[in-house]
Amino acid sequence: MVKVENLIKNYGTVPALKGISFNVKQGEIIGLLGPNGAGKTTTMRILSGFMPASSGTAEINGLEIHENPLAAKKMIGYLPENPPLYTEMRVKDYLVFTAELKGVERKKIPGRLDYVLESAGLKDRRNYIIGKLSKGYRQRVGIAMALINDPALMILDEPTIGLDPNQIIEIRSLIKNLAGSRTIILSTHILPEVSQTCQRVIIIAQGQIAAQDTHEGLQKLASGKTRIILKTQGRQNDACSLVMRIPGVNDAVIKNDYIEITADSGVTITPEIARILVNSAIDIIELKTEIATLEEIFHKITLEEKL
Amino acid sequence: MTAPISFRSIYAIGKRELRSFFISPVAYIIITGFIFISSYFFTAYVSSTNQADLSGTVNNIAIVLFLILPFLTMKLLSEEKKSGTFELLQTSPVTPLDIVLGKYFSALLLYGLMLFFTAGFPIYLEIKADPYWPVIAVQYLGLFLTGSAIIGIGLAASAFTENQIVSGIIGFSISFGLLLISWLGTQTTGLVKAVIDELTIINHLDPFVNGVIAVKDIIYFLLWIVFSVFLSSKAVESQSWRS
Ligand SMILES: Nc1ncnc2c1ncn2[C@@H]1O[C@H](COP(=O)(O)OP(=O)(O)O)[C@@H](O)[C@H]1O
Ligand SMILES: [Mg+2]
Repeated sequence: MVKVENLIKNYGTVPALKGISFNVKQGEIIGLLGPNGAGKTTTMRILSGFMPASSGTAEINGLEIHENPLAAKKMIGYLPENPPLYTEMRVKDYLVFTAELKGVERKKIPGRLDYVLESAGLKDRRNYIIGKLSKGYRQRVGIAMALINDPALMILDEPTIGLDPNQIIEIRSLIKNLAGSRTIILSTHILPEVSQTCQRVIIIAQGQIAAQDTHEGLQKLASGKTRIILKTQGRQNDACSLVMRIPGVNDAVIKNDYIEITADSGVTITPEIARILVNSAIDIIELKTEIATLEEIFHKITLEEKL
Repeated sequence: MTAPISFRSIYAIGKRELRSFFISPVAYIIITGFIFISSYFFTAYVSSTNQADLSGTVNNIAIVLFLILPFLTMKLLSEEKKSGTFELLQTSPVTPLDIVLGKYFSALLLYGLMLFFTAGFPIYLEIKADPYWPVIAVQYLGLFLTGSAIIGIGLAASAFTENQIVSGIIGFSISFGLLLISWLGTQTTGLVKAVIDELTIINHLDPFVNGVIAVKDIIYFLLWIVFSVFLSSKAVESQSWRS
């Protein structure tokens, strides 16, 4: 549903994205996880059509966002990091305005308004002036805005940032309820947030994707295990059993064209792998450790919530 | 981006802008101030000349426009940028031209309302004497076009900065500059003078004040409007702004 290929973005001479590629399937909730300044907002701003990438493409249902901006934007509901609210407006007026702006058919607007007020838990706040709402409620108004055009894809940039613990819990369950057939991409710098809300996580650091995995895979990474990717010229089964004999290696699994090795971190294991394989005349195409960078990243990501 | 404009989007953006003008006290202050100052000029002019004529008042109102309209236009695009709502506009299925035209028409409508409130002046003349209405209509057309150009310039200024004050000062300086250069025109000769005279706003308003509609003057104002709207739309499109 979403196909991002080799996005590069430079702000002047500052590189913010250095080649980001990922895919998202319909109905998936994926989390963009990364420390501050990683490039999450930049990625989302490109995906939402706010600004063009320096190079690379982003497709939504086959439409490239900067080639077909109007058609692509109609399918998106985007909540920026700072909710774009007109604080002097009333909640319902704001939502009607955003519906008009997003090209929702006139006769469908009342129905959509009721639906998003209900979904975002704003029914009893519909006549409030936005500026008088609490931060949590403003965030709900932002989510209602992103939902008003019944988007196939929702892009939520740090939807729980700056909220208090109760509000965070509420917003997270709200986001989960929005899923269904909708695709959701949300960003966060808090690890437990993705494990609670998302099915898959893309870890991004310094403008690059450091890892993509499911919640379980991530836990493995976060639990002091090193993940090593090994590509050989054939003989994958032999390679697996050889590698398994190395002390410190916990597991070696064949995945398509590569072998994923899980090992205790802290031990430098790649030279040993190389030696054993070469001795058995298995050709190595690629051998790389993923944890080296990940450990640094996890160091910067908030591992636990400060509640 | 060559997508066509959407009247629905322009209408939605313009309507919201107009509403926000009237939610804040700014619109009321500007309108009241404008009526107050122009009434002063009208009374002063009529009581000193004792004629059923608006031309002196129209000239004075024109000067007031240069001072007051920048307050109307300074926030148009800069405030959206500052508060982050620009990100909503930019990620909605609307074109830069939709955004800019919505803003432009909202300010124009508010200005139209301001002019409407001065209708009391010719009506007063009608009650007291016998003014020549066709000339008054032409004078109002001149005022409307002058204001439309100043609003266009102010809009363009607001497209280039997220700082309202800077936006206001730039808009004011450019339009007031187009007024002040009339003085330069009197100090120069030949081609330079001809160019400066053509650039000066007031020289194109004068024929209207005298009850004359010339195509060249209308084109002058239209050029400013089209140029400003185009420039604003390019600024919105370019995304060169830092956030
Ligand atoms: N408008 C901008 N101008 C210049 N640099 C920017 C701008 N926006 C972001 N950056 C830089 O790009 C990098 C990525 O930022 P961002 O995408 O906001 O990261 P994140 O959302 O993950 O915190 C950072 O180094 C940031 O300083
Ligand atoms: Mg960010």
